[in-house]
Amino acid sequence: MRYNEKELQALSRQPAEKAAEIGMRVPKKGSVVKRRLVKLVVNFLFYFRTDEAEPIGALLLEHCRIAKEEPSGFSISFIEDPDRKYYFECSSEEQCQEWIDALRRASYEFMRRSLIFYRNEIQKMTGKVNIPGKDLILLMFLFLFFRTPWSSTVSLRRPGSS
Amino acid sequence: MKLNEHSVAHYAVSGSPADHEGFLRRCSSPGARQPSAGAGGSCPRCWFVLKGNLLFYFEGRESRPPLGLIVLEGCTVELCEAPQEFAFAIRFDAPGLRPYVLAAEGPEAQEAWVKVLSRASFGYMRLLVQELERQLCDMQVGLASRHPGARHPPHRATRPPDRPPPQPEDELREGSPSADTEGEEVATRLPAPVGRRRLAENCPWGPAGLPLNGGDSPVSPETSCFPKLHDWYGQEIMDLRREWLQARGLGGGL
Repeated sequence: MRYNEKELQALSRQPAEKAAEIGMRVPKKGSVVKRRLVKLVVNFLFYFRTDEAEPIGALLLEHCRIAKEEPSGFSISFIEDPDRKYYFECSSEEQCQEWIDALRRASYEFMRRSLIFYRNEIQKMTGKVNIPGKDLILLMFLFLFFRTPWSSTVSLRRPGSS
Repeated sequence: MKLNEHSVAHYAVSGSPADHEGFLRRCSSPGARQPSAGAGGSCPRCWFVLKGNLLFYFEGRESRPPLGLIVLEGCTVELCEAPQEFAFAIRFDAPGLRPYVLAAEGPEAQEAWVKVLSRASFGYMRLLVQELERQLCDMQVGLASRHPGARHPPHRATRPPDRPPPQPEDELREGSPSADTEGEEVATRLPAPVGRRRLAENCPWGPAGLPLNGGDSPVSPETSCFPKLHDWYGQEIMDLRREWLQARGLGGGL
């Protein structure tokens, strides 16, 4: 399968939802835990050698499973091969939990299910369909005009601050 | 740079819903020094499938695995001049990245593709979810203020069926240690009455917890916060899956 590495490298340079230097072990025979800069950008998790600017690799976080690992780590596996696990070691249980929470909501599929869920809940309460409402059209307008390419939070704040 | 290609290819052909699909021609980049193709000349016709912020292309409709992947983040989609009719380009903001030029089979298809591709980013999806979350939250706060002190009003937004509480050793435990700090953060970002703050604490993700349950129990599923409900319902599936994996392991490790 072809993909453009430069596209992914450009994405990896964008502001992260979450980034930290933690221990990581890839699912390869004889692999050991190494210190990596791990960076979550949209639904990709990038990992870097701590002294390099370009990532060594990226994991697309769709159809994956995030599990807690004892004592203070977590693992990522993918549904087509659940025994193949990427292990991560955090410095504290708290840090580990923060990563798990962030990674679980980092998939587009999760966002899509959330969207359907909220839409149904609102529909139940109002008895009518809310999309496309004028709020959302306005929002889309703002999004398209004020967005910086990668960050929705910035675009949310901008109209107010200018 | 490595990518979990197997999983990505698996995701491409999995049963999860496609946002859009159809045939497009993959044309050469307008900036590239290539002999320009005649109408449809050197442009291979491929089957394109959009899933979230990923655009996959296949040799044919039923071909597996995908030939390639385009990650639709940080790009703009616009109509462009090309030898082919109904062409459009996916351009990236980062320097040194050449645009993809694709051509649809008709004006309607072209319009539809440009529309879906230009809002395929994760950020846009997140914005929609946040907006709906806020709307629901406002509606629930409004409802709660009309029923002062009512802990179990008739209009409960979500009430999952009774089932035993999650086992403490379960991996998908609720009530994260970081929930309080995140709740505070949400509450500061959105200046809100006490009721709002309370429901933010109740939901580790955002201000969409149900104010109506009073936030009694950290293990209660009585909340309309999607991540919690997702985990709650997911437990049964995870249990079944664990059993299945164990059974599979015993059965000779297929």
